[in-house]
Amino acid sequence: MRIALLVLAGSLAAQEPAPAPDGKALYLAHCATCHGNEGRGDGPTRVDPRPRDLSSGLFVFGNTRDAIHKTILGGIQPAMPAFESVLGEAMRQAVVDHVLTLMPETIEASEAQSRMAVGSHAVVVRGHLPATREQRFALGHGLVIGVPGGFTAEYRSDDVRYLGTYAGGFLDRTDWRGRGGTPLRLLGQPLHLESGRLPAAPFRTGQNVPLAARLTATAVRGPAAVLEYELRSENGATEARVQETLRALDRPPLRGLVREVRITGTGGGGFAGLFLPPGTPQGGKVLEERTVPERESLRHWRVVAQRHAGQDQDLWLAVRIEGAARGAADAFPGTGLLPFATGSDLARIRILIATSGDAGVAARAAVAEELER
Amino acid sequence: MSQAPALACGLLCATALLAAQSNGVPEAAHYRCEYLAPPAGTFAEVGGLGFTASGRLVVSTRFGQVWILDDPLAADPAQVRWRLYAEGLHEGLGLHVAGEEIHVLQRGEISRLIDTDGDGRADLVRTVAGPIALSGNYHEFAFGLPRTRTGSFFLALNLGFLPETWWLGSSLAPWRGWVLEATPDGALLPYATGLRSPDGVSLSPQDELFVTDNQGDWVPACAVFAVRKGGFHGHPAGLLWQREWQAAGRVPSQTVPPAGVQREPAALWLPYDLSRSVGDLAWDTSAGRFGPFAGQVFAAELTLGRVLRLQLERVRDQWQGAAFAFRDDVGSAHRVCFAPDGTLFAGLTNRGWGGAGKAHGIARLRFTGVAPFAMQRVELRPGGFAFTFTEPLAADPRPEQLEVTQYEYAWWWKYGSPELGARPLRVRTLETSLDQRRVTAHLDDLRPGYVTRMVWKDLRSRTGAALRPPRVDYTLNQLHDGPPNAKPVAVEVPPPQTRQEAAEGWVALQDGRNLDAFTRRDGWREAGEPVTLPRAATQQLESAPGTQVALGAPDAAGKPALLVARFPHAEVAVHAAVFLPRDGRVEFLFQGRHGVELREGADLPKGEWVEVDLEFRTAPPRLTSLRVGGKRFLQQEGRVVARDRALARSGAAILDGEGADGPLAVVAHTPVALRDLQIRSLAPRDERGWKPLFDGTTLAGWKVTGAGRWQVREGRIVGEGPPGYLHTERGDWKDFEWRARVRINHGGNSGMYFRKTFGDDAFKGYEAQINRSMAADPVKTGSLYRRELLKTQLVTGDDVWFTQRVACRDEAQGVRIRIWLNEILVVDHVDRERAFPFGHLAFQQHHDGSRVEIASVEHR
Repeated sequence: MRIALLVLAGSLAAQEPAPAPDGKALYLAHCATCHGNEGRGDGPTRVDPRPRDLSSGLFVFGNTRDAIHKTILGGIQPAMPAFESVLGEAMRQAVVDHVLTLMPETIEASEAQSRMAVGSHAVVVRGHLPATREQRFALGHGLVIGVPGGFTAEYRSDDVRYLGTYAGGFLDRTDWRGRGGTPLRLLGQPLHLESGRLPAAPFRTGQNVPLAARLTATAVRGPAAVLEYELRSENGATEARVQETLRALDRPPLRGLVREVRITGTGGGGFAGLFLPPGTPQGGKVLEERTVPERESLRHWRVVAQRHAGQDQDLWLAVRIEGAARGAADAFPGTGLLPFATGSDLARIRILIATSGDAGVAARAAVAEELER
Repeated sequence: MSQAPALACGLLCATALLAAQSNGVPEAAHYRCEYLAPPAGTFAEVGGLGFTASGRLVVSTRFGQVWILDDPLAADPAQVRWRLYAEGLHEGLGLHVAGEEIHVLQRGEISRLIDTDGDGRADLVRTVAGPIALSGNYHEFAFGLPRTRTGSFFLALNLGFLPETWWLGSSLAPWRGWVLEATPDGALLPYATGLRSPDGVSLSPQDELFVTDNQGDWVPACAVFAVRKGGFHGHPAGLLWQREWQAAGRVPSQTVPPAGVQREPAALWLPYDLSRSVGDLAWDTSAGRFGPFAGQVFAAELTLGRVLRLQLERVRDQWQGAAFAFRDDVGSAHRVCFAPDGTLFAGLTNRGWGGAGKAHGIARLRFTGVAPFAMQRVELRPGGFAFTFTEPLAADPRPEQLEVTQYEYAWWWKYGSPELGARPLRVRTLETSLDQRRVTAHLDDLRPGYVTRMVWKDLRSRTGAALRPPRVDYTLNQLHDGPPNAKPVAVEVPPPQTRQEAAEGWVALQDGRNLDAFTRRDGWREAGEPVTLPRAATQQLESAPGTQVALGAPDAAGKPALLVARFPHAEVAVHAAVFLPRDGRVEFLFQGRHGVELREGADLPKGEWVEVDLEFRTAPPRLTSLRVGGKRFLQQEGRVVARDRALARSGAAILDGEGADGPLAVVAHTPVALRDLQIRSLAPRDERGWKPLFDGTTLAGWKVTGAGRWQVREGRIVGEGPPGYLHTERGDWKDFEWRARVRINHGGNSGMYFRKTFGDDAFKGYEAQINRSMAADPVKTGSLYRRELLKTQLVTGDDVWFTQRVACRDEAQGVRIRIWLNEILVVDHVDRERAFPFGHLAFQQHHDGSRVEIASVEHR
């Protein structure tokens, strides 16, 4: 590269279009004195530590395109200078292209290879998840469960909170590429996101104090997936154990997934608590909310439907609690909290997250049937 | 070092090789390497290896998969069957297999994998300990996973790497940079810290914990640490979570070594040409089935694609020992593990980390039965070392056949350290045993706290074999005789210049929002928001990459766009990035007439940012340095590249500030984008007569008002907390100059008050502003508050040191106040009202969250 360095009074030189940067020429000009013409780390300039032998793929700082670019941009202390202010972006990319031709083949999963799909069995995947809007990095502890039929549930695993449900493809394991450590990319369309992926604690004590949830196991049982977790009070005592089973819901015209939650108290007298059902999404309407007294306890229904404007689909969120605590239903009016109690028997909560072609009678009947199952 | 040619693994007959090689014996003759490939179309980037009691090999991978190899010792490696046992885990960089029980270390927890229905696939993942805290940073790997006889697991947590200085480790969540113990009841307990990228966590057969760490900041070379509970091993980031640091609100510096912290020495330093990325360790308990090195340790080495041999010994309670090259051409070895029959398995991976040879899969190293001629053991003796060889020597070696040097490393924030202070040692005598298998070397002035490198020259065995490798690096922490040694191999040195330091001394004329650092800006505008500049060869800059740029374009009549800096200067350096379209032209002018034109063409590329660096000197006016795109165009001072030319000829008006201290001008003859325009004074400084107002250790001579916290830490005054002031006790300051070397955090706000009334009234005195709050307060550093407003963020970054100098004097017209920022005059003001006749000097603490640091305060 020469440069147009004109004396101000100079005449206009003939203009010619600039060619694309020549990566090899740039490499020979800027890199070869240390790394050698063939990248063998044998250039005439001696530096300590010795320059990398690029031809053997010896890249402590990474051998992916991005990593090499980053190295060129910022240099490596103490010997390799930063080229951020030396080479323009196009030139740096051209050098990266050339360096890649010097190195041996490295393996890297293609995007096709890093995509996971769900077959006849449920699939449980852990990884980082895309950040919520308040975060600097990815969400650290993520749990993604795909059930047959194309529905995917997203959880935080460190405190076992449901974040949302997606319809369509399963996920792309982006951390199989590059240096790794990147979030899972969910391929489905969001069907329901719980409070913008910032959910409140769903389980509370009878006094509405949030219970901490600790994951104890995940399992695949054929087409269903199971989460097991403990609910702990503020003092760390385990108050109850939860087994949450996820399975596909396919009761035409309803399609989606069901979360079947079974709660067992650990104390001798069982456990009475409060459950915060999925939040009513914007534009959602409570179609039904009723409580049926039984001998020992209550049953409680709540059905919410949301018409997706401009789409043919409706979202259904329905909850049924078996083992609802008698007399506690109105403990926290206006909060949406639903009481439950375990005694000799466990408490069950069934949560439906599903779509249907419309909010018609058939869909509503299917919701009722599924809740009663 | 082995220079053996790359050999096809496993197919070559050892004796044929022996016959074929006359000079030196290739490693394959002694250790045959075979490769176990995972099923076609799959990758096995190995993060953990372990054998079940029934002899199956369990392999965990970076893909979060676990494979089981039913017959890993099958004669034909191609016949080894790989079964996928589990998938969907969050990585698997640690594995523990005992009996048929499999534990895997995921990024977020330790889990046990169970196949409840016996179909050969794990269907239950039981949390054994966790969650492990994560910030979500990509580099927060978790490494492990050995288990003690008492049932505790050990794991180590990588630091996060941030994009700005991306290899500089940061502990962004609790216990990053720590070794943790997971107790049998599932508790995760902090065990030791000071680790950076501790990829190998291994227990010796006696349950002694060893952790490897990887070269980088604070880690001068790859290392093996014998980790004790509570130990600190060198990288300061993890100290953040230590109870004492938390209680004191201390935050480890990224560049300044932590004071008052006891640092554990490495048991072994692995020289750079031996290892660039080290994985985990495996102890040879095969009692000779893996050759003559029983009881020694083998280490996985990724970047150079090899296995190393380590020999540890304990001298007066201090671990140390010898590191040898062992077997090259293995592939990017990340994990090593011995099979029950004494075969060494190496799990490979290199994606994103760098490596040599095979990038995934498993290598199998088997002893051929032919032992190499090697240093079997190297042990410290009083005044020297004892060498034991695998074969008798051909002859008693002479002292000049052994070359000995000692070297040390720097413990600093930079990436790695060269070998420093190399000191040749005289070999006084060599004493050879009667069987000629042992040689004791007596050395002059052997010192602890150094790595001792010993290289044999022309040493041959009785059978004529050359010694391989001829070199050993012995990390010498402690002598048998003499007092306990306190000198570490990695010595503390003054911290080298940081990136922020390199940004010091500049004044930014552009901050992407304002153009008020210019008196004229005809035809220029600050884009104010990211704009897209075209890569296409158009003459327009409407649509193209970059942020925070100024766009200049000539007017309809073709009159060039003119940008004239507000601040006069004499000798000056200029830095900027320009972006030109096709046929683009831009000039940089000094004193209105001297300068240089840059023009797009075959030489200066269009459609990309090009960095421009100029140095201008007066008397005579000339450019003394010109670099464009990092290339230097002026080698010698004094060479004239640009001749005088009146600006009028280019169609622009004569500049206001023309003269010896004329300001910089940028002239756009075509559309031009400009960013990062900065200047740095090169003018000689008059440093005479300055006297300190801060003694470097106390606030003697200063008085606090308000609720701000003013403390002296590490030789600096630090102001934090709620609003308040730090006043000089003296209150009669009238005509004076004072200056301070200061830095302020992101969003921080402070100020240098003078002629101020004692107390908390912000408006009773003049204030030279210090402010890095981006939006809240438009009055930025360098402003004379309420009198001379500078909206442009002239300081080049958060936490960048700068010097602000104030001169205040009663003159005939009024009170003359001048403010220099990094020796560029930014304010020259006369207060005709003479609002404040005299008073205190004071620093302001503006709000909680603001942190100002003052390294020096002087007056004259």
